[in-house]
Amino acid sequence: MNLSVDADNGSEYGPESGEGSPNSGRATLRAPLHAPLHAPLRTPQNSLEQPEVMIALRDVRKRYGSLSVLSNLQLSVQAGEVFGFLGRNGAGKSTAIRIIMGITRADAGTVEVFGRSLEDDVIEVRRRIGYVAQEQNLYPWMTPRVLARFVSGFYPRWDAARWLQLNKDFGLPPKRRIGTFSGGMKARLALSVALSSRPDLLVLDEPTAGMDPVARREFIDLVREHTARDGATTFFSTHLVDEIEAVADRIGIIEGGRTLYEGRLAPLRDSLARYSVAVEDDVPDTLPGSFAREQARVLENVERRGRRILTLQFEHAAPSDAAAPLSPGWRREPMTLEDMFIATVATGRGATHRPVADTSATGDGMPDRS
Amino acid sequence: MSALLSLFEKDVREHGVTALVLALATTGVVIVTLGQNASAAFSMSPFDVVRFALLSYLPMIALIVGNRLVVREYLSRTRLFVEALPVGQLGPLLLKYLLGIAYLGLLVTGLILLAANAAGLADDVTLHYVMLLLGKSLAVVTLYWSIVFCFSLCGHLRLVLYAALAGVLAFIAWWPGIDQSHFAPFELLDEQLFVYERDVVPWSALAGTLALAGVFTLAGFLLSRLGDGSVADRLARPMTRRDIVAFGVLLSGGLGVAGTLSEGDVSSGGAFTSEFTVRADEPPIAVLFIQPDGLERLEPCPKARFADAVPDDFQALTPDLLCCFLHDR
Repeated sequence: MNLSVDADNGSEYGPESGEGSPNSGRATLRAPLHAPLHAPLRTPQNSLEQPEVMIALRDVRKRYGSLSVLSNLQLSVQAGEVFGFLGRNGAGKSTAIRIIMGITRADAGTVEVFGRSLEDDVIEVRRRIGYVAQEQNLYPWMTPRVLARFVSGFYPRWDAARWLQLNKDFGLPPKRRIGTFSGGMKARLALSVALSSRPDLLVLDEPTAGMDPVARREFIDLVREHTARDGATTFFSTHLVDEIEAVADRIGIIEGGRTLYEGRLAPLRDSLARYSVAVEDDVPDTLPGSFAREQARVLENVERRGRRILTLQFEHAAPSDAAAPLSPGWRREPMTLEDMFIATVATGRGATHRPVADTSATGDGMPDRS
Repeated sequence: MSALLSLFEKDVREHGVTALVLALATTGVVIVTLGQNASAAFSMSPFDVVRFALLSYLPMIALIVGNRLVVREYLSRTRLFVEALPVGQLGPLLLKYLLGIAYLGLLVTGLILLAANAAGLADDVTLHYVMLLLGKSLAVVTLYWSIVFCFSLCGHLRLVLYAALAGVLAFIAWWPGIDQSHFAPFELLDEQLFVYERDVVPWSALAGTLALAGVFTLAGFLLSRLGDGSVADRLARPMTRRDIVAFGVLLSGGLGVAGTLSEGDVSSGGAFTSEFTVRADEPPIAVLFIQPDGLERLEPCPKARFADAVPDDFQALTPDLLCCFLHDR
């Protein structure tokens, strides 16, 4: 399922279009096909002009031997936004980031950062990126002060005053060996290094992995505070969905090396709904309310504690509780972003990837539309 | 440029003290040995003292330098931090390569100059001779460092590679019938102490050694970029128990083979080192065959005639050391 959302109204999304598209046969929503996969974001502030595209990945492919890590990955990150890059472990997030950083070369496809190809001048591109890696492989014998001296040689825009201020704000002892730092301290140190280089783009590759909840919350707060203050574009990769929910303007969901969804959170949230019905043997013949006739697809069909739970994806916004009277026995379940993420990824894997209308034919006990 | 300066400063800060201690310790040992040698009743050439010191210590020093400069960066994964900084992919590694070779080269140059300073009249030191020794030594240092550099990028596999290399060297050194002077690097280890040999510049051996060093260097850089560096990263992962057992088996097998070879060591006697010179290591003898001026060139060539003239066992030449001309039979 490859979807694109026009953020202006969040109501148009459709399958990846275009002839020869590798995913064109896997469209899930019968939505208007005129919406391009990666339509430019039009925010209220800059609706009149095309915003600068900070990161553009088109049909990016990467293999390691026989293992295909990325297959036709598509991404577009606009200037000034916080972009949440969601994916399970092993989905290809880190490889995509290494490609964006110019550390790894893509086998095929186009990679543009700040509107220029990485082939042109990867060093200049990296000078404008602040990067916080998943693992903080900092020199353990260095102190933060020595680290700053070392790193400042790489960044012409290094801001020593800001470094000092950030260190103070982040509570980092300047003369203590980094080897004695906790994981959270190392991540904060890496963030302060990244921010002190005055980056145009901040790339965070699962920086909170391995942190305890308190340290994670602190880190997220710092990211939120500083991205809001600087207005720098932030590319935040994680598999922890709640982190993204707190900070992201738009999200991209990746699974198996390809983009499953790219757009704002709200349209994704609006397109999904979860209903449950208490059943003993079989699911009732009717779907909830009038929207049973909608073009919807079953993303999940599971049984939990005696209730059959269906997660549906709708062509347009899923009906709200108020607008949609439910048939007896049915109730709408709240969906967190994590639920949506899991449902989307499940669809991407092809777990339950059929129109509701088709489910009766499968004999799996799913309701028929008619 | 400032990025490379930062890397240089970082490496100096990280390894400077160790490098200094190593250099001072080696120089101290050599100075003490030279002093003892000078006061001994039967002294060696100072160049021989330095040569012995270099053969003993240099491989070890190169290993330590390689371990600190390269291996540590990969095993501790700090390379990944540098990799994401705005600097070229080969820059940091090239800097490490140059730092290693510069350090070892300076150390060797210093020791040879010490030997030249300690040399007496009997050594008949000329600038040409010192330059010759320097050139040969630096070529060997380049090879040493290139091997260490390449193997250092192989993570824990380097232990196996060093063991295999030791096996190959043992084979060349001890296997009967193999004349190690035919192999470029070994030829350069010859001290060329005899005055009449000092004009001979072993160009082919120098070229061969540097070419071999180039191969290892190239292999190292290629390995570092293979799979965008992922191969070197994978090799740097900790050894599993199975790896350790396999390495132990390989090492013990290699030691067994080396022991067997050493028992079968047979001295090869004398050998021609040039068209006009025959040498033996034990006892240390060199015989120069000079074609007298004014005489017609003898046919067949002197080397062949000389070979005809000497018995198979070169030891028999010992009493004829003063002979510098062989009459026609």
